[in-house]
Amino acid sequence: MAKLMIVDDSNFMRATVRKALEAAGHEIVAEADNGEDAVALYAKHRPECTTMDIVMPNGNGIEALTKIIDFDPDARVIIITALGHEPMIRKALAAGAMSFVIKPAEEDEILEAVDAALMGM
Amino acid sequence: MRRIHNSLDEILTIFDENPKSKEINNRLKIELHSMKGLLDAVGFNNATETVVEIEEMTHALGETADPALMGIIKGSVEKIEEMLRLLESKGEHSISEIDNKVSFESLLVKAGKRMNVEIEIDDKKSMLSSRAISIINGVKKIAELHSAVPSEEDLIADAKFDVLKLDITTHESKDEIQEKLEKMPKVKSVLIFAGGDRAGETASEELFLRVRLRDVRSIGNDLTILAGQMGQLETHLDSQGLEILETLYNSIENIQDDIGRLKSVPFIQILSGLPGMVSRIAKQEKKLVEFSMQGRFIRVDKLVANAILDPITQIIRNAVSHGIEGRAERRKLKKSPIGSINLTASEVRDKIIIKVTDDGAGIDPVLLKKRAKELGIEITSENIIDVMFQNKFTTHSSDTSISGRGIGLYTAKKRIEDIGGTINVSSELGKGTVFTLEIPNSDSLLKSIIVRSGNIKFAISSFDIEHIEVIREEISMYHFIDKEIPVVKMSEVIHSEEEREQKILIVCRGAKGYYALVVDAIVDERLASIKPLNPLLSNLEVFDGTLFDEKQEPILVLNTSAII
Repeated sequence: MAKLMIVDDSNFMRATVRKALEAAGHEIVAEADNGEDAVALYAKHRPECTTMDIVMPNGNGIEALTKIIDFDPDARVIIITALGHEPMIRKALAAGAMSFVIKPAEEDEILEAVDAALMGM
Repeated sequence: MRRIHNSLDEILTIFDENPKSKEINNRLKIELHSMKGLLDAVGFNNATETVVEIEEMTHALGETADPALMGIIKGSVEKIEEMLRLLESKGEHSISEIDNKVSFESLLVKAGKRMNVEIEIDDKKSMLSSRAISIINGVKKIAELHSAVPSEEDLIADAKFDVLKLDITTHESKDEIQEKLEKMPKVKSVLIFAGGDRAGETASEELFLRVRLRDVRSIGNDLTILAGQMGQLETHLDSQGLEILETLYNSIENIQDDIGRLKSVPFIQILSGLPGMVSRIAKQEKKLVEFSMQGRFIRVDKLVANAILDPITQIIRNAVSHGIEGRAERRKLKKSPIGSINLTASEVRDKIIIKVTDDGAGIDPVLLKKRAKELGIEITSENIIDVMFQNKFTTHSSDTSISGRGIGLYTAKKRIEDIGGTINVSSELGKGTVFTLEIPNSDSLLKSIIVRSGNIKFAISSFDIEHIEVIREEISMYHFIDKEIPVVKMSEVIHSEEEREQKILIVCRGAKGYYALVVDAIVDERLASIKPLNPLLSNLEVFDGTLFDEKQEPILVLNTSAII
């Protein structure tokens, strides 16, 4: 199974995503609650896939995504965000995010997105 | 490596400007040889193997550059850029890591299987267009995407759709693609057809047949003649026969549509090199330029496409080099540092309208006047800007190696006019410039009859003619099929002298129904290309086209809808 990173400023959301991914046998190598830390942890741990919230303090998800993709063009990042942020989702897709999940997200939605990302799609 | 990158980039620019230049292949051989040596010395083993293959391809070719190979070279330039970026990223990647990461081998992957993919998306949170963008991004990792419906631009604008349709080429099997797509989030169903297959048929290898454009046109022309001849049957048929004839007309129309598609290409096919060209010129000139296109998928007659590529390329080159200001200049003018150039193509009836708009410096009429005087060029038009289209006109004292001399616009205008089109320019100093091209999108040969009214000859297209007969007496109404239709004397329409001899009555289709036109004689029958009327003659409402007789003398074509 894969090494993953979770980025979200909500403890609850991080816990939800972690639970879903660990239940599927993945290993969570890092967690961050802001964009700046996300970039630093990505460089340190090089996860195979990252789930990233868009709206966060101290460096939002789009900025962090852009820096991660700059650093690693093959980085697999899935955006997790609330409804109503569609323009930002498109920005994130244009910046290199592989796909997105809309909150509130079911566990299988998150897993489906991560599996597809790990397949390279 | 940087030197090789710059040199290959320069070769691509030469190819853009003069694809037949013999310098290209010679320089390529030298640079590829250097590149192979350097990659091998550094330890990029995978990359070296691929460059050896590319080098062999170059040696196998003749004197002039091969477009497919140039596509591979363009890809190589991008790969080198990627390598340099990774090498310069503070030693975080080893040589072998970079060698594995930057796959030159993928450049040589050519013809795969063409597939049409239809994807239904089930996103209850109504994020269809974003989901489609995500799917397209994923598809691009495993296939070459030729087109998408809705297009990526339309999806960004939140287009609504039922099914996402993709035209792709891939090396993976149909089953592999199907499996991967079905695993993507929110994909409800995936249907894959081999390119050209109809729904339900088994996907198979696509076959291509190379045909001469001339032969395709000939088939189209034969159909036109057939349609004309079928028209002569109408008066001999009963109502059931007329219904069958109508069905045959519809079939011919469908075949002509199919032939039209064979003769035509999507506009994007001729535009695909433009973004790269803009990017290269902007880089060389140290400018920031954003280039956008709309209307990329309208279909354009192949001959028209070939004719307009160079003029459009010249206009866009000029826009980058002479239109868009440098960054410092734009900052001073409180403009965005990124200049914008937009190309929009649209179809209006049988014309293609192409607009190239930039937000650059605009054209200075004072400078134009001054320069025209220096070059001894007379300004003949009320619109001073038109002097730019005159031969040897340029506002630049030295030829820039990037855009060339003013002869570019002169030649561009000539090329457009040669195919019956027009080119106009409008500009606002400090704000930008708009070039507008209007091109007829059809080079169809149509059968026409040449008739005479008094001493004036004109043509009537066979498509406008329902029936012809000789009449021996003057009549004001004519019985056609089951109606009485009005009779119009052409001598009264164009004020020609009327001859007192037997007349020819031609039943035409007008704007409000059939009518009968009376002329003095049928002079000839011509199969010729009808060109739109010169705009200067636009006041002649009863005529809307021109053709040339066997002596190459122009004959006006009647607009039958304008009579009644």
